[in-house]
Amino acid sequence: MKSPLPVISILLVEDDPAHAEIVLRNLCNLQDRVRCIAHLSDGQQALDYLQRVGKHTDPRSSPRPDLVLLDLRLPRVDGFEVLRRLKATEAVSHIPVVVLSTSEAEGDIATAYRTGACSYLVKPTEFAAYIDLIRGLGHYWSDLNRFHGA
Amino acid sequence: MEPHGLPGAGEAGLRSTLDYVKDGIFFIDAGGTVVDANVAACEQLGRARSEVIGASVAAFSGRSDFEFGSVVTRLQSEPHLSYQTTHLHKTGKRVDVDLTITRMPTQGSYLYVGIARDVTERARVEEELRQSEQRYRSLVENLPRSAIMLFDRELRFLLVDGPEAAANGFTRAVMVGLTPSQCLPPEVAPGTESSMRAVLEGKRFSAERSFGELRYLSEYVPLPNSEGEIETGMILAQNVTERYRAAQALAQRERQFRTLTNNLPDIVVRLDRNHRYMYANPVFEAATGIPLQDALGKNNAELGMPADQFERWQTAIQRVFDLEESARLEDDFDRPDGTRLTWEAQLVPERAESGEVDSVLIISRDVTERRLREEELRHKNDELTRFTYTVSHDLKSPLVTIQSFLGFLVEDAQRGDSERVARDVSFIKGAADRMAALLTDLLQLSRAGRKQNASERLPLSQLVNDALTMVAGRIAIEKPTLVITNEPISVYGDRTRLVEVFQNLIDNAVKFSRSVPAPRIELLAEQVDGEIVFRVRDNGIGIDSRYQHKLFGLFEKLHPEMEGTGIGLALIKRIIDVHGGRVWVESAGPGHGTTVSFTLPGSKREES
Repeated sequence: MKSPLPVISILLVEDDPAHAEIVLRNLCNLQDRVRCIAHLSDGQQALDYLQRVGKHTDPRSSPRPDLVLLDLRLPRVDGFEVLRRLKATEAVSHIPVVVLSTSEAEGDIATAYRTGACSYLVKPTEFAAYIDLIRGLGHYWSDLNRFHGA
Repeated sequence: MEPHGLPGAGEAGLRSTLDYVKDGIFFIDAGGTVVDANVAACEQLGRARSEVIGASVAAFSGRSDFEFGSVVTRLQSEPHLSYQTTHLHKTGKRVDVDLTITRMPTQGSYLYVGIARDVTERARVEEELRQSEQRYRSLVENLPRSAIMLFDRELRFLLVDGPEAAANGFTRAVMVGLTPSQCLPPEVAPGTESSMRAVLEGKRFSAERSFGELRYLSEYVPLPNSEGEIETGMILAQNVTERYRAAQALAQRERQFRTLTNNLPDIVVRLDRNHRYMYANPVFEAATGIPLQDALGKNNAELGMPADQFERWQTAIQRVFDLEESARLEDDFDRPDGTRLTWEAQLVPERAESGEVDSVLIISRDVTERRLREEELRHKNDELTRFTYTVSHDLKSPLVTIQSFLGFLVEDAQRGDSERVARDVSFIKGAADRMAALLTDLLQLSRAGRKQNASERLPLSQLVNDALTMVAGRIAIEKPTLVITNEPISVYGDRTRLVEVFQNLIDNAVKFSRSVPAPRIELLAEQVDGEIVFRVRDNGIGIDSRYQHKLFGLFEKLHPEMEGTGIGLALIKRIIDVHGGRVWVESAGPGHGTTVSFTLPGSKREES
């Protein structure tokens, strides 16, 4: 009998509720591999969650994710700043961050990688492409985690 | 001695008289024998009278071929003979004499009288004179391109000489005996004459004068006689046409250079090998405040340039001398009034005729304005890039939503999940609405970038009232306390745009203070450091200082739950920018209200 695959926990940081729902609905199709543990809608909340500040001090209610899916354009603290501070915080700097943005600007892509992003994904305007993207993302990180776990 | 033909009576008196005569006098008979001679004659021969009388005259002649017979023969047909000859001194020395011989009838024969004048001294003087003349000639003939003239008190030329006189046809023959007005062209004669008169008054001087196509430098010299009276004047004229033309050409070039540099808007200076100012144009004085006379001969350090800057310039200038190549230097200069100017200088090597670089020309241009414009342009360009990026990003975002939910919609419809279908449609609708709102706002923002109407002077109260009318609906709902200044202030600008500023600020203030128990909005105008600052203050939710820098960004929303696209402050900033003012936001933090302040150049308090 096959041992159950490890499930990847994801923290989604996305201010646009519609965009968040697109990601979440896509992730539903990958329930056996990927699970969203929290959805936060601005950069400050994301930092508070990851750095366990304020209402996120309890590790049980605010578990650390295996992966952060981060939008760039966020209210209050933008995605780049979240990425920078995350990578500068020892307790969470190891958590891989995948940027998910509508921006295709080269400057944004370069800055994201330079600041420590693992991947930079551009939100596709095509529905099918979006589905493929999220599926690919889930599988990739799930597989990566499995090999690590083995 | 027995004189043959001397009158008997008074003979002794005659003799003594003859002995006083300076010329030698010989009395000779027809046979050529000296019958008598005076003291001077004996002295000429260096002999005693006894040695002379009775001797043959041929013995005293300096010429070996002398025959007295030929004298006798010639005097038969001529009344007298005069010629130069030499007498033989007892010592063997020859004595030059002018000799005149006549004959006097006496007792059926003739007595010959020779009068010999010793001309040794005269011959010496004549020889000297000849040599002096020779020297004078070689001097005059070799005077480089010169003429020499002497003139008398009547301004008549006594002498005209020298190669230059001959070359121009003004020879001795043409001029001597005439005054300048009689022999020189009318355009030069009066000037020459007045100079000559000055010489006769004892003045010595030089004068340069054109003579047709030619140019002469003349030295006027009075020549006093032994009594100190000036009977004669001298003019030594040198042809300096070539030098004059070269100087003229140089002066012409120099004039052209100056005309050019004096009218350039740039600073033009010339430095010598020691980096000292040889020339500076008027712009230099205007720009530096240093009078031109003070700059000449000094270097930059001596003119007060700070040490580090002086070093920079020295290095650049020396490089031009050393490498003989042009160079560029851009540098900032602090002015006494505290402003800073940027100058861009071109350093150009200038070669002497020898080919060596002997000066450096520096042409400097004030590029402060250009630098500012470049900076401004860069700023605008950055802004545009940011704007384009924001717009493409923000417009793409709802598109992603629409496309994705259309996909979900198809799936949900096929499954017959009507609840999900309704949700999909609502997301699509929301995204489409947002897109429409973004487009409207963008249009408004692009309009804000240019003034729509001509600027005019407007009372503040009118702008505020217009704005309040626009937001009357929201005010009626939220009912905040309004405190509005009644200062008699007027502003200058585009009415429509300025109303938009107040409208947006009041709208924001109402929006962000509706959650507090007693919302209060103040519209104030205060005099701060000589300018009027307008403030819209609320006691609403306030802004965390960490986010204040993001406020003016396009479509930035600190409170995503609030309605609107987040364009308000970007729009306000743009309008204030276009009007040349400043805008800033202050808040003591969340829960402590917000104050948006701005300035508008041209605002003033109306004294009623």
